[in-house]
Amino acid sequence: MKLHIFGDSHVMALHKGAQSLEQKLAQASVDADFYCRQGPNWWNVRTHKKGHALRFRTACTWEPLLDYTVDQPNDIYVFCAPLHTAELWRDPTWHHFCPWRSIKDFPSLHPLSDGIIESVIDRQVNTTLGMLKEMKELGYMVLVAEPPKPLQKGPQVGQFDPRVVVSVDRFFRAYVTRRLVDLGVPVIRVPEFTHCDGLTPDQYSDPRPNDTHHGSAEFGAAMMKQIVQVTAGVTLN
Amino acid sequence: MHSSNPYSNQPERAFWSKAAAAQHITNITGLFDGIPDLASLRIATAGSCFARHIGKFLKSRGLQYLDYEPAPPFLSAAEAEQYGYGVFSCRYGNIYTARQLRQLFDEAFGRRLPQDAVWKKQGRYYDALRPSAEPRGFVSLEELTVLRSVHLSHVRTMFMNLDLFVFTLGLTEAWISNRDGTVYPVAPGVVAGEFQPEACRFHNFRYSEVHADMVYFIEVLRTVNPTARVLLTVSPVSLAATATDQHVLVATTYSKSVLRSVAGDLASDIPGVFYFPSYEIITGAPGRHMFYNPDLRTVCEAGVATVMQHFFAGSRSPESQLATSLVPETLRGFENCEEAHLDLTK
Repeated sequence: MKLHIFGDSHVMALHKGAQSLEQKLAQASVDADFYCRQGPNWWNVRTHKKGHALRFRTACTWEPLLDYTVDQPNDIYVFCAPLHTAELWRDPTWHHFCPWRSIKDFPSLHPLSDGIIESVIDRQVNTTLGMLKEMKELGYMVLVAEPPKPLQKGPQVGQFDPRVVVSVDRFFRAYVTRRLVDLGVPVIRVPEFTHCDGLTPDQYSDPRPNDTHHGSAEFGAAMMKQIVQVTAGVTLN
Repeated sequence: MHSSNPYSNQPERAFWSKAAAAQHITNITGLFDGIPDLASLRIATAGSCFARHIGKFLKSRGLQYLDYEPAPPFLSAAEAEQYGYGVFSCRYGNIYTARQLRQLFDEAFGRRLPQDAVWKKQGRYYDALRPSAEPRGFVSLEELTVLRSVHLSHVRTMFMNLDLFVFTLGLTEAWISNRDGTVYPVAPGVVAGEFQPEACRFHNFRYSEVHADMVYFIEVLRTVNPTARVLLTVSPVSLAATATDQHVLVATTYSKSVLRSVAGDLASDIPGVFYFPSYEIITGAPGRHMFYNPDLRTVCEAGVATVMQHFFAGSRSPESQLATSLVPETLRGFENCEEAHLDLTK
C-alpha cells in the first residue's frame, strides 16, 4: 500500500515517527512518502486540474513555496492541515474572550457565540476543504489526520487559561470534523493515550520550549500506527 | 421712515434667502449649537442604521465613545460589523422605533421580559430583538438566552454610566407580537422566523405614542442616571418599504414628520435633551439630494461626513478643529440595515 502523507508542519512528526517504524512499515508492505509546507500555504492553496491530476500551488510567500501534485488514483492520501487548531487558540482574542459555554468559569471574559467562532474557523479552512472536495470529486481516497491536542506547555507560552484553550480546541475539531464528514472525508483521530484532559503531555510534545502545538517523534510514531490501522487495517506493534 | 417687524432683529440664519438659498450646503453654518463639554462626555449611541456612522466618527475623533461589547481581535473590521460589533455602544443592532428603545431599557432593568422574542431559521435560533447581530443564528435556545443575558448586562451598565446618549429615531412603522406586545426591529420572515398573520400585527406609531415612549425612556433613564443627557437625531434614510396602503414616499414623509416633531418637542421641553439636525442636512433643499446614493434612499459617505462636520463644528470643542477630516476608511454604507431586506424579499 502506498501512502502519500502531505500537509502542514504536523507532517514532520509523522515523518519522524515513520522513520522510527521503518522496519515495521516495510514488513507491513506500507510505503509512505511525505510532503510538508507551512500551514498558511495550505490555507491559501490554489488548485489546477489537469486530467485526473490535481496540482496544488499557493500565492503565499511562506518559503519554501508549495507545489504538490496528486496524480495516483490507486494510492491513499493522508492530509494534515484542516484540523490545525493552534492558529485559533493561540490568538490574543482569548485573553479577553471565551466560548459562551465557558462563561460560568470566566465571568469577566466576553462570551463568543458558536457562529462567530465558526466564521473565524471557516476563514482558515474553507479553501483547504474546497481542495479536498476537488480530490473527492476526482475519486481520490483522502483522509485527514488530526494533529496533537494543544501541548500542556502551550497555554503557558501564550499565557492563556488552559481551560479556554481546551474549549476552543475541542470546538474547532468538532466543527471541522462535521464539515469533513459532510464531504465524505474520514478523520484519523489522535490515539487516546497521547492526551489527557484535552492537552498533550510532554512525552508526546515537541521538546522545543516555545513550541505550543507540534508532536514529538513518539507522537508521530503513535499517529503513524493509527494511520496504518485505519487505512490498511494493520496493527503495528 | 422707521420700519420694524418681529423679524428685524433676527440673525441671518433665520432668513431662508440668505442662510439657505444663497448658500452651498457645505458652507451653511449655525445649524447646531453643540453639546457643552462634548470632549469630556462618555457618549453612547443607538438607533436606526444611519446612527451606525455616528459612533464611528465619535471614536475616530478620539471622544469618549463607550463600547461595552468590543469586537474580538480576530475578526476583521468587516466581519466585526457583520456581527454587530463597533456600530453601537452595545450589540443591540438597529433600534428603529421609540418603542424598541423603551422595551430594551425595560428588559435590561428587569421591568419587562419578552415572551415572544425567538425566531428560527434552518435549524438555528435568532434573537428576534436583534436578528442580524448573529447572522448564523444560535445553535440552541440556551446559547441565545445566555448571550442575551450577558448583552443586557452590558446595556444596563451603559445606561448607568453614559453622560450623553445619542439616539437616532428611524421609523414609526413596526411589527408587534400579538402574544405580548413585543415590537420587532423587522417583520418576522424577513431576516429569520416565519410570518404568521395571526401571530403579529402591523402598527404605525402616532406622534402621541412616539412622544410618550420617548418621555418614558428619558424618565426611566434618569432614575438610574440622573445627569444623563440625550441627543436626538432623525434618520434621513427613507423607508425601504411601507406596510401601509400608501405610496412609500408618502409613508416616509409621515414617518419622518412624526419623528422630527417628537424630537423637536422633546428638545424644547425637557432640559438636557438636544436635537441635532442631521435629517435637515441630508434632506433639506440646499442639499439638492446630492447626499443620497443612486438608490435615493441611503446616504453617501460625503453626506455622513457633512453631517458630522456640523456636529463637531457646533460642539465648539477642540475636536471641531478636526471637522474637515476625511471620512474614516472603514466607513461603508448600510449593508446591515435590516429594514433594507424588505426590498429584497419580493
